[in-house]
Amino acid sequence: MLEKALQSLRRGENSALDEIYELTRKTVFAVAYSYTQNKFAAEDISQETYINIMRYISYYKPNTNPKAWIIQIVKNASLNYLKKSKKEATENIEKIYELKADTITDKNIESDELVKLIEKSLDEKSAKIVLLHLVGEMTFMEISQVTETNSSTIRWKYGKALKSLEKVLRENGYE
Amino acid sequence: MNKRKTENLIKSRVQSFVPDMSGKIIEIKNMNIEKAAPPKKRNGWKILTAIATAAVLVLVTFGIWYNVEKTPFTVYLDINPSIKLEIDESDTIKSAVFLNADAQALFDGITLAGKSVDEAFETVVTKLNEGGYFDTTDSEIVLSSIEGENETKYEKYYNMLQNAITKSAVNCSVTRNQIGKNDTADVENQTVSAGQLKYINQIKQMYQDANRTELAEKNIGDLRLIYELMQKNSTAETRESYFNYLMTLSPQELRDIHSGHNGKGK
Repeated sequence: MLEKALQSLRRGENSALDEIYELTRKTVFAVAYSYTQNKFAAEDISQETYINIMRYISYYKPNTNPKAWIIQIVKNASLNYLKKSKKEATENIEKIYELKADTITDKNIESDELVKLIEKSLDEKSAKIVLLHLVGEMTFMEISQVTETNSSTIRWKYGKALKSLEKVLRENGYE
Repeated sequence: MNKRKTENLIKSRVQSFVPDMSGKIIEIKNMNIEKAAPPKKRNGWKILTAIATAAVLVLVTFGIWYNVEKTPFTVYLDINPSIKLEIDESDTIKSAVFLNADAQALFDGITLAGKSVDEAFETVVTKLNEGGYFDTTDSEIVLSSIEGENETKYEKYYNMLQNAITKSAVNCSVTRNQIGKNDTADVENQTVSAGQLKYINQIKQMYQDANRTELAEKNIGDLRLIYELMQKNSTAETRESYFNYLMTLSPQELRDIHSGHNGKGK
């Protein structure tokens, strides 16, 4: 499906971006978040990613690996974002936070709290793997493209992390 | 709470963590984004390849049209991505199913149906190589058939896979395997892969209390290492404790012990 949508976009059908977004939004956001640990920065990076997909669509080689191509674009956008001076980034994030505060709902708070709990309970890499898999709905092989770690190690770390989380979630009243 | 429950709980609660950006997407679609010029095409060899592919497709289609025997021969290829191929009498792929998530990701957009077995195996080996599955020195593809299938045909496909590996000059061995008819449902449901079954059955032959569900959570490479280490380092008396010990190790620790880089072997 993603392959077809990218090919449509390549032919100039901009409406295909809707489908590309629906098929990849979780992955794109989760990868961007894994680099920044900041929701608003991740949202900016996601936006930049979809702009870059439009801009560089002619570089996509049909029938290769569409998701891997998109993951590479998010990675580049995330690294570019991190290259900016810390000060500038922080100021932007604060501004964005102010602008978007009114869109925060109870459901957002609940999910944000759970994500923070996962990040607090696990080491950085394990938390990244859990969030990429469960929020980003990415396979272990796709995660290995982001974390540059062998997919067997990722699978093992994920299994261990889930075991720790079972206990943490129970202790924190999640049933 | 078990693993599955924990996964489902987290999944259900983090749904709203990803913001809805559909409004932004509408804006992006309407932006006047200057599209980068396509990269320059270098050679005409692509046209030749297209003509050759078209010719092959015509031949393959011709072959399918003449196909008399309708019952396909089934093989499973496992190296962690797990693939099921159904092959018709004219050695053409009738259907290809990418059984697990790793296979689905690696072969997204790739069509094997309609290709000859030779071509399909070459495509599979090329993609696995791109995916880094032959990077280790002990890479292995388990080629499985279902019990009762024609052994001569199996040997033919085994040799074709070997040829595809030799042509690609990758470092990988092919291991023979046969699964029981009763196991095919589990393989189709992705409870376990055909390749995993080979090592799970061998491990259970040595230690029958080994838990099949827990073993199925390990990937095929780790299962092979566990089997080989148990065979090499355990006796009937030490088998249970050694098995339990191996199950706690990470993939890297298993590889270290297997290659003799770690003193924790016994």
